[in-house]
Amino acid sequence: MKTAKLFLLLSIVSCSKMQAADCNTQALKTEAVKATVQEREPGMYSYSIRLGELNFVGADGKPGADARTITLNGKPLLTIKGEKDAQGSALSLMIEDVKPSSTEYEAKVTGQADKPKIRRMLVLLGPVANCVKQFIILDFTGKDAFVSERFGYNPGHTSCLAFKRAKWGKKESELTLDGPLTYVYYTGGKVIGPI
Amino acid sequence: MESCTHPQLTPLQGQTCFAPEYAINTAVDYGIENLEALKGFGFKIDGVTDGDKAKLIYPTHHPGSGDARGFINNTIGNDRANVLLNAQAGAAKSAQYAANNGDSYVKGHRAWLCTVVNNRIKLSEKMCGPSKATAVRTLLDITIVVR
Repeated sequence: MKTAKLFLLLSIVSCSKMQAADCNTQALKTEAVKATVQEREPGMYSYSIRLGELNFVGADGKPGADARTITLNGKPLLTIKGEKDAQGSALSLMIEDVKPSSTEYEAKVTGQADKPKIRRMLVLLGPVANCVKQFIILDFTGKDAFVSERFGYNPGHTSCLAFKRAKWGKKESELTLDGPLTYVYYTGGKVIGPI
Repeated sequence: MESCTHPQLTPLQGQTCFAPEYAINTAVDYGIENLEALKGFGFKIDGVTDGDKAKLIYPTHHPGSGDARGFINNTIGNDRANVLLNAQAGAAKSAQYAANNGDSYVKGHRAWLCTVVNNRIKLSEKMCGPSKATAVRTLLDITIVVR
């Protein structure tokens, strides 16, 4: 009888410990999910521009690193469909985030607390941001957004190109790639080069 | 710098020696060293996949292992985040990232670094057999898992 009681007691203790462990695991999971949700950055892949809000959106419709569409105020501005490079890697649309001159901002008005708004920006087309196949300029200086032709000589998308710097001008801008190779963008028009 | 004499190295203008394999191995060595530093801080590095590790190496390379520790723990202060973001992205871009994230340079810096890493480290792009690649989480999720 004593042995049976001891066995019963041990079972209860063991069960309650298992339950506690399970609760702890659940609590940890809940905590992790909470932390993830709290830390989720609302400003990722979303940018303020002169004409509204720009978003880099994946094929699944969610903002992300594998963007296939750039939307302006929720409507598609630039879309790529199933494009691959010479190595068979799927291409994405990405912002150049490491070289500051790749983006031109509106001049800050003294005393205005508004977000700095983008006037013109370079978009990367490639499998990853450190192996770009071609470039595109988005220009928001006019009444409507302008999407440039693709530039960067890269037949068959075999090579990796790298952006170096941009010098934005009113009528024409210079965009230099590693090489150095310089392209000229005529505002709202063609991109020629390398010159 | 001396001229190349090693038969496996490519001479460039008769002066500088370049061997891509050496550059790759050096990057891997630095990466492993930085992961060890993160382990030393108590992060659970062994519990994540190689793809996750590849993403974690990037923040240690960018701000260094000390600030990477703060980045993972989300303990970098606003002033320090401002300095880090300004140095990497420039004043205008860092101001926009802060403004997009509730005027917080801490959140702005996190959003910027996550975007940079997620756009650059896509494991399957560099693999011979991409179908065998394990799923890689976003950098933000990885930082939470390794704490």
